[in-house]
Amino acid sequence: MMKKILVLALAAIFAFSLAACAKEGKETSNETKTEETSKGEDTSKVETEEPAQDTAKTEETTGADYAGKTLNVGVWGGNDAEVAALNQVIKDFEAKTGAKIELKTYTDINTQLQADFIAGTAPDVFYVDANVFPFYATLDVMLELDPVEMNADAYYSNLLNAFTTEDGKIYAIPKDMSTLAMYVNTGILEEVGYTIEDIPTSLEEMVTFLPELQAKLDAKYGPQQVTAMTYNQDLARNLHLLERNGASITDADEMATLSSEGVLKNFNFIMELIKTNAYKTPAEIGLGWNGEVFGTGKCVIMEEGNWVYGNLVQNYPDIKFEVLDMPSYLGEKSSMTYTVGYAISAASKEQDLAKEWIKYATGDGMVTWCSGAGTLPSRDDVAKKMNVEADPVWATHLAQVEYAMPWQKGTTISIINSAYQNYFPSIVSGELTPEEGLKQVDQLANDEIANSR
Amino acid sequence: MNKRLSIGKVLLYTVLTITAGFTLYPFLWMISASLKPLKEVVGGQMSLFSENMSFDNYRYIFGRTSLFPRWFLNSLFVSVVGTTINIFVNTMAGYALSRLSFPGRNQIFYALLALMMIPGQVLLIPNYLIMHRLGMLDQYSSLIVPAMANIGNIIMMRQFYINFPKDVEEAASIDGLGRYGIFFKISMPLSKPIISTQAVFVFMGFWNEFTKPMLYIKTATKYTLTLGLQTFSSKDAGTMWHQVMAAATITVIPIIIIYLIFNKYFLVGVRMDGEK
Amino acid sequence: MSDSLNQITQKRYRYSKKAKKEHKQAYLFVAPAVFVSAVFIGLAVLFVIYLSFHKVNLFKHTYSFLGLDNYARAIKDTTTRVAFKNTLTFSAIVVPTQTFLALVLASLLNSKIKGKMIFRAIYFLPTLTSSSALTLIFMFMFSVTGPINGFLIKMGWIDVGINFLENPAFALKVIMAMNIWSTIPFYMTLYLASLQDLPDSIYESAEIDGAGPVRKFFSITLPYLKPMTTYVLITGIIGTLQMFDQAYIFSNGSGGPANSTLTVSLMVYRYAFGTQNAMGFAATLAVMLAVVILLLSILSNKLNKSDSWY
Repeated sequence: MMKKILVLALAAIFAFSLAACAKEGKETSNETKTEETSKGEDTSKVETEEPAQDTAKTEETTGADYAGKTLNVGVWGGNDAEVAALNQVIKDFEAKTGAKIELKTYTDINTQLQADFIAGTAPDVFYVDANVFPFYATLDVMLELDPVEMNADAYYSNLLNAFTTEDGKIYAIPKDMSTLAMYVNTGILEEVGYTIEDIPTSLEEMVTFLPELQAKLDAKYGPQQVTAMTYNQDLARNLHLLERNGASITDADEMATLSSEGVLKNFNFIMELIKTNAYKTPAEIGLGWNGEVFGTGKCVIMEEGNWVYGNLVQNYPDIKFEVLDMPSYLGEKSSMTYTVGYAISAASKEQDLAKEWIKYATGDGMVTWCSGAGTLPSRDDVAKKMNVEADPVWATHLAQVEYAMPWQKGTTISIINSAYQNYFPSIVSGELTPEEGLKQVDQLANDEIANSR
Repeated sequence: MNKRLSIGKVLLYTVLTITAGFTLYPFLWMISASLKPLKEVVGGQMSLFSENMSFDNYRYIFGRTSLFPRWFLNSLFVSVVGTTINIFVNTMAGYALSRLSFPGRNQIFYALLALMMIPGQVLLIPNYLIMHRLGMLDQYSSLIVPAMANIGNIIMMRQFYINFPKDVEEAASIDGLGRYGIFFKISMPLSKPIISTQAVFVFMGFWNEFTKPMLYIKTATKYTLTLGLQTFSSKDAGTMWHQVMAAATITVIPIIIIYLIFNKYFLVGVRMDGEK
Repeated sequence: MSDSLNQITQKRYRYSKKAKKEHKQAYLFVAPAVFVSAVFIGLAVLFVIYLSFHKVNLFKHTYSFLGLDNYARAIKDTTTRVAFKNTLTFSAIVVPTQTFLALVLASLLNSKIKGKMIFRAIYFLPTLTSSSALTLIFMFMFSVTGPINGFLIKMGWIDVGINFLENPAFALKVIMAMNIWSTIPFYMTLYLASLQDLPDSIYESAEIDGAGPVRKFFSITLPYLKPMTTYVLITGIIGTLQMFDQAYIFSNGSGGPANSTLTVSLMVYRYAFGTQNAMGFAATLAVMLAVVILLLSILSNKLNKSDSWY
């Protein structure tokens, strides 16, 4: 009896779902039909381009230019704030141009986008992380962009360079950026008798400061309960230190050279910090990332990106903190910046509309996006418009862009980073000396690169 | 004699209970983590209870998108249809491979076995291309049709039917039942335990399947539940563990229900001492 | 006269009418499975084998024939050796353990004890949870400040928490434990279903002959379950040798620490979806793994000769 009811209920659910998706199917096929008919009569654009003028104003497009056209935009998922911000930008764009945006949200963009490129099903516009940009550039899947048409001058040059190939061609426009800055838990700091001014401004001074701080922390909270500072065993964080003084982690052939003299020297300095025993990774503390460690009050200092700001405010409200410039190393200030750009698919059938989207999303739309999602703008005029400087935390993060290095290093960087992460713990535990360890890293990475060529 | 028995039994129960404890703990931890705020989940405590437990995480997940019920129905649709088809295809194939003799029988068996051996990662792109060519991308059929047969389960059914008593079938054929009749009216119904087991696991396979929907389904309204729940996490700001656990718990509940439904069929024997 | 005529005509045809009818039914029964497998797996597999002999750029649609170069390179490569070593070790420990424990648990739960249903339900839980959720849970549990370390410290067995996840000696073992924990219920349930057809009378007559529980297990239960054990072994071998998800989540895709969690499938994934257009080499590794799996399956089948019971 129960079973019969269940079967009936299930049957009802199928019927319902079938009906629903049949309707869905009809709707989408109607849309594609209108799209194809309007393609034939592509009215010329009504933009009034005035590149010399105030670059924050986008070109005038009337509200019906692209009516009936659909643009596929590929993005990755995000938290509430990011999704809301993006939806607002989309709504504003749709109102402005009359076009329709269809979002494709990638869960694992690396795998999925590669499949898309191969099959030819890539969206018209998609996110490109600066990190993978060099790889995509070798695949000829992105459309070359004209610097004049896209107002290239408006963007921070180091960001734009990240999306420019060696022969000077631009293939993507930066839509936002994040930088690393130093977060300090002032609450704990004061409890152990320090003030924010006591925090050293150079890493060399940190080598002596951290153990002192740790001793006070151990005395107050018990041994190993709170760590002085966290770090990450990740080239994405360490690169700006490892490449100081002209050292390079790759050679001209993009093979790994981490065991080279210059890099080794810089790496040994990082080891000095680690040896203070007051400088630990989140995993060693038992947590997932810096944000969790800082938020649960288990460390005093961390170097993190601006994405952690909103997270701290929302999930860990009782932590009092201030944000400072990154500490200098060898007399030079440095930081890392992470930027994502919009690229147009070389196979796109809506290239003009795609360009409109990019110009909007990285122009007027950037204000909406950055303030909503909690990232920094990639151009100075928008930064001024957003009044980024008003909040000291944002102001500090923004200030880092002057000397921040974009996270990018050719096509082999992810292989090298993986090898780096693979052997770092063994170097820390003492099983391998830094030199042996980095040699292993080089060998592992270069084997993989050689096998692929 | 009595003493020996009870010591043995006591030992048995102790072992079983401790094992049950180990089995249960991670599962309970997952549920308790789904009820806690992020701070406490991340803290790494052993305890299953805390003061701040609430359904906030669930409220967040349900409220985050209006598509949630749709995703649930999508998963249900794909899983139920897929499971039903699978039961018949797998059982019939397994039965034929073990009970019927025909030329090419062993070759087919070994070929199917061999197909299972290639690791799936390299098959992702070729399969994507095949789906694209067949126009099945972004359709529910892409999730059901290629998974209509499950080679592992075919083999399982084959092994099961090796031991299956022949006399019941022979009696039926003497009574005048044809080949197909024997299979559908006698053999299949009497294989309820193994078929129920197969049903539960096949359902679970469809329900938890993540990679295929991720690659093949583009439209948000067509997402399956597991896929939809994944799109919540932000790339940089760390995993929202409390919500991940809540999502995992939500995903598990329908499977538990299916298990409870089919549970009573698991243990019905074929031989019931003279009953047929 | 007609009799001998019939005999002659029957000898002429290779199969009797009755046999042909059986053939027809058989082909009909296997047709859907074979068709679906051929189209959706077979084609892809053939393409992969093809790729393994080439240097490929799928994006630009270029294929250059390399003969056996990829294979030669893979055999010489030290990282590949490490991956195979890890993968084989993993399988060698997990498969026997999970098979044996599943057998034992199934026969225990089949005997006359109270609370069978509850135990079965509890033991079934690990299989219900998705493998990625399980991996995350286990990563938490084995973290330096997690419950496992907490327990070990409380019992006084260690002083400071062990960083299981970052210690090359432990990382793979944690994954083994997790794998065994989550697949035993599946096999146990299969064995239980199989055991339903074993009549109690056989056990009873053995008891009369004076057999104790251990003897009954080894002389009755084990042999009866041989066909199912074939399935458990083969799928166990295939599953463990292809292990990917857990290694990926654990090591964040790197296969660390110190390449201790690098499995062949993880290597295949890195080459297939990496940034160097190495799909050809990935295909080579995949084919090599498939061959290893095939050999081990044949071996295990021989050791467990089982295709008939009566």
